[in-house]
Parts: sequence; C-alpha cells; structure tokens
Amino acid sequence: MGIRIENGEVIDPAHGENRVRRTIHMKDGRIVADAGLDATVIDATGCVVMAGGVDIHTHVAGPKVNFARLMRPEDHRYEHVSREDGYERSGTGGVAATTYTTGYRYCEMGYTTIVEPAVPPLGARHAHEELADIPQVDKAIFTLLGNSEIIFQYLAKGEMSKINEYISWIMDATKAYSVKIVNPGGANMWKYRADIHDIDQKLCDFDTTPRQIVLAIADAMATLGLPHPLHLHCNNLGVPDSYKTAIATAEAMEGRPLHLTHLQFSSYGASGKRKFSSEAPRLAQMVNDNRNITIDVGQVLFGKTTTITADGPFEFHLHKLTGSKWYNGDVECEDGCGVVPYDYKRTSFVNSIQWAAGLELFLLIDDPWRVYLTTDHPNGAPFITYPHLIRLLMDKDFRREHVERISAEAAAEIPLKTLDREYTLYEIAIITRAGAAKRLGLVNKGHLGVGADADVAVYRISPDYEEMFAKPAWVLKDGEVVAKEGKVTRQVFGRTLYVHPERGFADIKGELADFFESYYTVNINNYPVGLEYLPRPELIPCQVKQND
Amino acid sequence: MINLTLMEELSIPMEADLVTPDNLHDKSNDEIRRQTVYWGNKKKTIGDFFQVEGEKSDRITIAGNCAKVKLIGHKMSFGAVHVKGNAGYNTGSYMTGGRITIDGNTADYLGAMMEGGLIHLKGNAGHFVGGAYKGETAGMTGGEIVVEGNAGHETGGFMRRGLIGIGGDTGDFAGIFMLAGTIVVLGRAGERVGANMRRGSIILMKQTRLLPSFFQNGVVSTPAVEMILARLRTLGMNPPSAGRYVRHTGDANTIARGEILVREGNRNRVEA
Repeated sequence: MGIRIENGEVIDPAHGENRVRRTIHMKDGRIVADAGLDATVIDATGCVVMAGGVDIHTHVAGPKVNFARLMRPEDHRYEHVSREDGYERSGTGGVAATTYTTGYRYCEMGYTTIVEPAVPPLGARHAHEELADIPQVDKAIFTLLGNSEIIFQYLAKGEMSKINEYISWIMDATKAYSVKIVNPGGANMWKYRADIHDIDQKLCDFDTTPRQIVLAIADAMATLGLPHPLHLHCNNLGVPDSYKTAIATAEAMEGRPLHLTHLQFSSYGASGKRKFSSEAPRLAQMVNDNRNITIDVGQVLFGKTTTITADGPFEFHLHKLTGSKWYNGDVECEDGCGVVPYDYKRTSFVNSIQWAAGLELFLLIDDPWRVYLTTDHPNGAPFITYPHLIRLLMDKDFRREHVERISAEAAAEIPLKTLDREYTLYEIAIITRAGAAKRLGLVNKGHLGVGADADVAVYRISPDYEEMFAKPAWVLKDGEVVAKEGKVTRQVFGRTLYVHPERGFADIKGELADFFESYYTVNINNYPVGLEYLPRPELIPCQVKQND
Repeated sequence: MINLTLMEELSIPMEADLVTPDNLHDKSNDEIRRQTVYWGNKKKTIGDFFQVEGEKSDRITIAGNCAKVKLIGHKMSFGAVHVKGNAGYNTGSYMTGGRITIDGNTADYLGAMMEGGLIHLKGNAGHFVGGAYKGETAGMTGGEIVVEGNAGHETGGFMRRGLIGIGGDTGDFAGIFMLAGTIVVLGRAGERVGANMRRGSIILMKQTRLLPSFFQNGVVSTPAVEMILARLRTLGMNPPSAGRYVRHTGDANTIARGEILVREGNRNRVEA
C-alpha cells in the first residue's frame, strides 16, 4: 500500500522546488506519480518535506571506531537506549555509539543514508559486519588506499595500469563504494620514522611523492568510472599553515574532480599573535574558483569528543599535545590509525578559531552544491549536534550570541564576526542531502522526483531551527514511516551500496598472491569480503570510460 | 520521615536511583509506591519491593538488607537517607548534598563521582570509595566520606577534592591517580599508596611500604593535619591526638606535588 504526503511544502533542490505545495506519492519503496486511492495519507500541514538526509562523511563502523568505543567507557554512561517500541535493541549513545543506537540517532534526525569514509581494506570485513547492524539507514564504505605499499611499488615502477587493476580488485574485495586517501604517504612513512609535510616530499624507501599518489589514484578512479571522485584528507592536517598544503593539493589536481574532506581541519594559518589563525577565507576562495572541487566542512562544536582518524602521526601529535589517552594502529601494508579523546573548549583560543573556521567555510563558499554539512563525526563533534550546527548557519543572531561566548582573543581575530549570511531552508536541503547525494553519484537519493528512493523527512516549521531539525515530524525509509516526532517507531534495515568495477585484475593476480605470501598475515584467498556480509547489497553501476 | 522497608531479601539486583529525598520528598506514600525501579531487566515499582510508611519529608529511612539495592541516594542534593542495613553498589554516587548514613556495609563505588554532602558508613565499604567510574579522569570532587570499618582497593582513586576518612584498613592503591583532596587512613593502608598521584594528601597512621617514587623530605607537625583530624572527630571517628608526621612527596612519575604523611613511630620497621 502506498503513502501520500499532502499539504507539505516540498523542498527539492535537485528539481529547483523551493517550498512548493504539492503531494508526494510513494509506493513499493519508490517515489511514484500516483500512489493510488488506497494510499495512507500523511497530513504535513505546516511542514517542509525533504528527501532523507545524506551524510557523506561519518565514522560509524570499522576497527578504529571499535577502539574508540573500547577506550572511552565513560562516554557510554551518559546515554542509555532501552529496548522499547521502535527501538528493538538496547545500546549506549555518546560519541562513539553502539551500532544500533547509531542507526536510531540518524533516523531521529531524518537522515537515511550515511557513508563510513575510512575503512582500511583489512578492516572491511569488520566494517561490513558493523554496518549490517546499523538499522534505519542505507550505508556505504570508502576504502583507504593512500598509504598502500602495493600502490607505492607500482607507482615507483610507473605501472599505472596495474594500479587500475589493483584498485578494481580492492573495490571488489572490500565491497566498497569509493576510495579515500588519508595523509597520502604520510601515515605510512610515519612507520618509517619519517613525517611528510609537503606534497612533493619523497617517501623514504619508495620512489614516489604524495602528489604522484593522489594523481595516480584519482586517474585510476576516473578510468574505473567510480561514482564518487577521490575523497581526500590532505597531508599536514591540523597544524598551522595546513591551508597551504590544501591549496597545493587542489592545484595539483589540475581540474580533476576532487572532494576535500573535513577541510576545516586543513584551514589553519600561522599568522596572528598566537601563530594560529583561520585561513578559511582563502580556502573558500579556492573552492569558489575551482568548480572541480567539492568539500565537506568537518565543523568543530564545543564539547568532549573522541578523535578517530587514519592519520596516525596527527593523532600522535594530538596525544603529545593533550596528554590524553592514545591508541595507535598499524594496518599491515595498508595504513595506520589513531584514536585520542579530545575536549573542545569554548575558552580555548585554538578551539575557538577551529569553531569559527568551519562556519567561515560554510558562509564564504558561494555555491551550496559544493559544500556539505558534516562534523567529521566524531572528530569535530558527534553527529547528533547537526541540528545545532544548522541553527548556527541559519540564524545570525544565534551565531552572534555564540561568538560572544568563545575565547575573547579569538573572537577579536576571526573573520566570522563580519559575516551576516544566513542559510535558507533551501540551501540547508542542498548541503544536507541534495548536494551530497549528487556528489556521491547516488541518482536515486537526495531528491523527490519520480523514481527516487522513498526516503523522506518531514520537518515541522519552527523559528527554532535546532528543535525543527532535531525532531522531524515524520521520517520515511523505503516508503514506510520509521520515526515520528523524533522517535523511532519501526526498525528497518537499509541497503549497503557498493560498486563492482569491470576492469578485473587478471594481470596482477600472480603478483598480488606473491605480495600477500611475503608480507601479509592474511591469505589472499581469505582476504576478499563476500557478498554474504552485505545483508541487502545494492550495486551502483560504474560509468566506465573506454580508453585506458 | 519516609520509612521504606524491604519486604523480601533480593537475589537479583535492583536499581533504585529514584530513592532520594529530591525525588520522594513531595510525594504521598501512594505516589512513592508507584515510582519506577529496575529489577534485573524488568521495570518494577518501589511498592513491589518496599513497604512504604510515614509522611512527606526530606528524610528517608530504609530498613532491611539492601545489599542488592544499587544507587541509593544517587544524585541527591539535600535531606537525609538512613540505611539501617547494608547498601549495594554506587550508594551516593554523584551526590551533591545532604547526608547518607549506612549502619551496615556497602558494595563498591560508595560515593563515586560525589560532588558534595556527607556519607557516613558504619560498616565496611567495597572498592573505589569516592572513586571515578572507568574511564573518567576525575572521581570525587567534593564532600566527605567517613567509613568506620575497612575499605577496599583504590580508595579515593582519581579524587579531586574532598575528604575521605577510613577508620579501619584499606586495600591496595589507596589514592591512585589522585588529583587533589585528602584521604586519612587510621588503620593499615595496603600496597602502593598514592600510585601516580599528582597532588593531594594521604595521611597514614601506621607504617606501610611506600613506592620508590615517593621521597622522604622531613618530619612535620602541622595544624592542617590536626584540623582534618578534628573534623573527623566531629564526624564520629577516633583519630589519635596531635603527633608528628614523616612527609613523603610524590608520585615522582608525575608532577610530584602530592604528599603522604605517615605518623611518626617506629620508622625503620617496614611492614611486609
């Protein structure tokens, strides 16, 4: 039986609809032209109707998230989820929530698609096992390849077509959706006691540079036709003058499509009395000037959180800086990772600058289709703070109140205080769903046209945007009501999205087997993740180019 | 006075975090009976387990063996709770004010993360008195805990402020990771007192073997110690009269601003 959402104001930026009063019909999990006479009617008077939210970058599954859970027992005590109607599994919330709670929390906010962006290939099995337990949302993983020694070796020998085959194989072996690079070369070199600070710095033992790694992988991804372009976490992240590296990396791409992730963490300069400043205006200008580049912000919001990243050296520096607990992981020949709890303090100069830099990126990038709302959950803040962030963007008085509460020294320096832009509901719909879905290459998501997935969020209009986006009146997943008034009413499971490049890996099969035999703890036959790990797989087609 | 009497000894633990003056002081006996408690994985009410008598008051008396009743006085901020028998885990955790008196023994985490108020325990305590829950970086941040009997391991671990007085012995690691505050042990302290302490004072009346990261620096006789002991005397304890204390500074593995004062006696005798 179908569902009709009547009397709502539809905001569907993909079709240019801004608060158009029309009825949305859905049936059999899809948006349809007419749901039929027997459809259930939802009266959305006084509400806006949007597609379900799409989070392009959120660390919710995989080995390092699990270490974050293990490391912070105190984090789990703040919030308990009991088993009750709709919530079929108990769990704990907090910054690194349990799998089921993660799904419930996203659903409560009207999000229906999430992407775990940093899974080392060896951790893919674990990540898929966790994703299988995250209800309410569709999900996908990105595989980490920027520190793979296999790629380094092919690069040093200039065997680009073998890189294509390797990536083709690894996408299939990990059932991933796209590729992410974290600190290209740097995380690996740190294992060799070297630190990478420049994109043209040679890697020791491998005759290659971060620039070559990024370009080779970006070209391979274009050749394979992966739906989402390269998802890049730059070198030198989180330190003063990191913005220079970000700009250099963007220039190195020479027009190739690129997604710079959590750019806020790369937006720091070294000017000012404290040798730490926000250079977000320059990066925003760079994004405005280069149409091949999209970003997500990775906004910092004040409070305690746990930082989780594959950037092992950065986490080590953070640990040295804060004296906080530290976990460091070495993922064989593939990558590393680190976990450090962190407390973003309103009174801290540096944290205040970070907070402002993220908002500046949001407000200074003109085209909302190329900036997406994230907090790099949980690195900047846990995802449950999105409604608060939305209000900061939409309400300049609210923002001004918060500027007054940050470190006074930082408040005097930041460009943010001169910015009066307010996001409209239409723009919010772009940065939280339509734009992100488009950049992910998900043609059935982020919009409400006929044929789209029937993932819909209905928000009751209120001047308090935080309240409005925290508790949607209805959330529908695959054409079923799954949450009402911010409470999950029905547990459903979404699909796992993956790609299957057609390139194959015939040429490197023997070499790979030898490499695994020599350097891996895992047998190559046990390495690939089978489709049985994806309870509801959905294959997203690659747009293959003919020339190699 | 609100009188709660446990009707039947429990074999399965109960979470009674609503048994506080904050929650019960303005409720009639019928309303009190309807308050939620969790018993194992079941949602029950106070009336299922307790006889409720008395009139509206900020004073609660609990009779019966409540060794399996957890979280009595959790987050209480005023009034008084008198437990006539034993109490379970987490008694007085996160308490900010008021007074809890327990005639029997308690399980672990007595006064964990406590912020203010007074807990007076006449029997023995479990481990982690005034401690921090796992992962927290600060335990007790204020208030006073007096234990007339013995206490278990890690008494006052991660303590940040406040006073803990132990009339009997403690287990190992008293004052581990202590940030500040005061612990007085009238009996014998276990091994590795003050391991990794940063600041704060641990006052011991009996010799014990200290960690090598504590270094002795003088013998003191200070009014501050006498004031603390006088305070314990008003709380019903029986500390010795004025004396001299050997001062040890540590833990040298941290910033070493903490001190362990050991009452002067037969200094050369080291207890195994």
